[in-house]
Amino acid sequence: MTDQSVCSMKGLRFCYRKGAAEQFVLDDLSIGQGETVILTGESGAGKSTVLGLLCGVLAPFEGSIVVGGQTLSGATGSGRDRIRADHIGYIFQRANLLPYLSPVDNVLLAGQFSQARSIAAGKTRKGRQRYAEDLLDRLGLDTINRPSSTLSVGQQQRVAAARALFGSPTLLVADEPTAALDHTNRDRFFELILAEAKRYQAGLLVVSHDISVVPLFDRHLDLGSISRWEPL
Amino acid sequence: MIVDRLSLAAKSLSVRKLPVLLSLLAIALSVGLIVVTEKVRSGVREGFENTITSTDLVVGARTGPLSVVLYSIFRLGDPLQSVSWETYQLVDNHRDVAWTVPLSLGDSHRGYRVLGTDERYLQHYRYGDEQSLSFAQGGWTKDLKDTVIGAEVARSLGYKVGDTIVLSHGIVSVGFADHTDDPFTVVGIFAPTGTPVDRTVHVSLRGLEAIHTTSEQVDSIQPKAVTAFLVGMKSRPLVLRFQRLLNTYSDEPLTAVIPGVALSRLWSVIAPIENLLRGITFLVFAIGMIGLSTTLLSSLAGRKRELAVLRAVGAKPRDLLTVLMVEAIITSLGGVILGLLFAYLSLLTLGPWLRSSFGLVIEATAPGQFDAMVVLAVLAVGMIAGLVPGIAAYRQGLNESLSSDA
Repeated sequence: MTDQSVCSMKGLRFCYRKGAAEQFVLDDLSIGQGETVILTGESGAGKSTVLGLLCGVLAPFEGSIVVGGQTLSGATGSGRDRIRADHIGYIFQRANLLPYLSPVDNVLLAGQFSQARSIAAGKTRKGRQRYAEDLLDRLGLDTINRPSSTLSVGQQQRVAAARALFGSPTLLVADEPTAALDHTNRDRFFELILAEAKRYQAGLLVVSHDISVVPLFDRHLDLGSISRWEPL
Repeated sequence: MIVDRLSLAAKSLSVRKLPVLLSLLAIALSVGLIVVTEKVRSGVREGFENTITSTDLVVGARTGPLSVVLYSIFRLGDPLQSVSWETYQLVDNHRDVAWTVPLSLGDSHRGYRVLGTDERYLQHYRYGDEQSLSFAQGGWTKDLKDTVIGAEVARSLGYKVGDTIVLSHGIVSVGFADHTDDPFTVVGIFAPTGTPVDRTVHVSLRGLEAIHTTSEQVDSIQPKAVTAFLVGMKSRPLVLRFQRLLNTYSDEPLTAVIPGVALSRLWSVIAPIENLLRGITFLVFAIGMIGLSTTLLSSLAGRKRELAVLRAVGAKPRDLLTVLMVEAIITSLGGVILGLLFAYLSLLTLGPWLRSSFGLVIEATAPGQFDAMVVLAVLAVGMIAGLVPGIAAYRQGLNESLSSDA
């Protein structure tokens, strides 16, 4: 692990299928502790490919990916699953919650697959419950005590953020998290998640189309400048 | 962690109440039906094979063994010849013979066979689990013109004790040969037995003779022959020897049959129907299983998001497989339990009614090997049905799980 970075991807080469005509090449993408980064790019530039590689869902055939000091590239499928569970909090564009679990249980879900994050959140079930409630509290969802399916989209995204933050992961990854939100909710969401990322000293990588939020972040990366598709 | 997976599966099931409930019901119905049908099948078979029990030999004039059983036990067809009264008396008085029951067949009443016999029929005829005949109303014949009718005769023709009926000659109910001068009085009605007794009109041997003689001779009536007779031996080992003795009797050609053997052979004639029943049962079962698989498979499409969320928080494909399998097992186990409950409750409630109305003995015997096999089959199919979406989830490209529009 390079001194301060929570994740680094270097010299990656990846293709979706054996015998594919194109390969995705990424030179260097690193995020420091507590650093907030926004990644923009045109459609088809490879944003979901970057996310897939970073989260250990896709495996490169060349290059190295390190998250939270652990090498993803070369790890087995279940090894990558464990690294993701331990180190990454992921926020989808929408429909992040399991409708049959309460908001608190949705947050607690993040601890179900990672012992490290479970312990970081609290040693007892009660402690973890408190931790989840505090998180929801800080994200302005203190009075939420109803089925997740009845929450507004804005509230749902904040519950998802709370889950991503649960047990203080090394890295937060969000894929267009505000695409379904109006401006007020969008601003509020970014305000909260940026503050929480700083508070936990987690790295934050947000993928977005929305150029207007770029000033909120420490760093702006254009995918086109660090990666490209090359014929194989 | 296991408890967490279980509760996750249970909660996930609880939101999809309706489809889950429907497939649960489909399983319950097919399990219930297969268990009940199997019990009915074995009940009918046993009932058939126990049409007559504790009788060692059925004896008639020389013919095929099956035909002796057909006309003497099932009152089907017409015997070509009868056994002389002298021969019958000889057998009745034989030292190895414990008892005999004379049977004289010939007339009919509205399509129901008339059988001439005597009190020994009441004492020695046994069916089912060694049960003897009992009366629903009245008692055995006392007078020449008395008759005791079977349960079905009474029910379908609406006869009560005290009614008078006319017996005709032969088995065709419409004809010139109605013995209108000889009305018989119903003095007894047998309780249902599920045997041909239910469809029989019983009269005394002398009563049967009386139909065919003029009234002046009534006092001197003496039976000259019987159609067949039942024999009970003093001890079982004597049966085979005595059967051979009768079959080789030189003064009169006879056929002696061991009823159990003949009944099993007769049943093999009906075996295709039994197989048909089995086939239908199997189809019902298969439909239930297909229903279960369909529900589980179709639910997968709507649950891609759910599985993607679980993957994103770090669930391994193995974890998803576990959740899906647990769900499948919960559903099929629930269905099986409900189905068995349904089957045994209906057997317990309908059993006594079937017995009293039709003499059909379908017992809610303790769940046996067959039930265990059904349970295992449902669980196995349930697990396979859970495995298929589980494997689909397992294979689901992870990239697909993370992409937002999955």
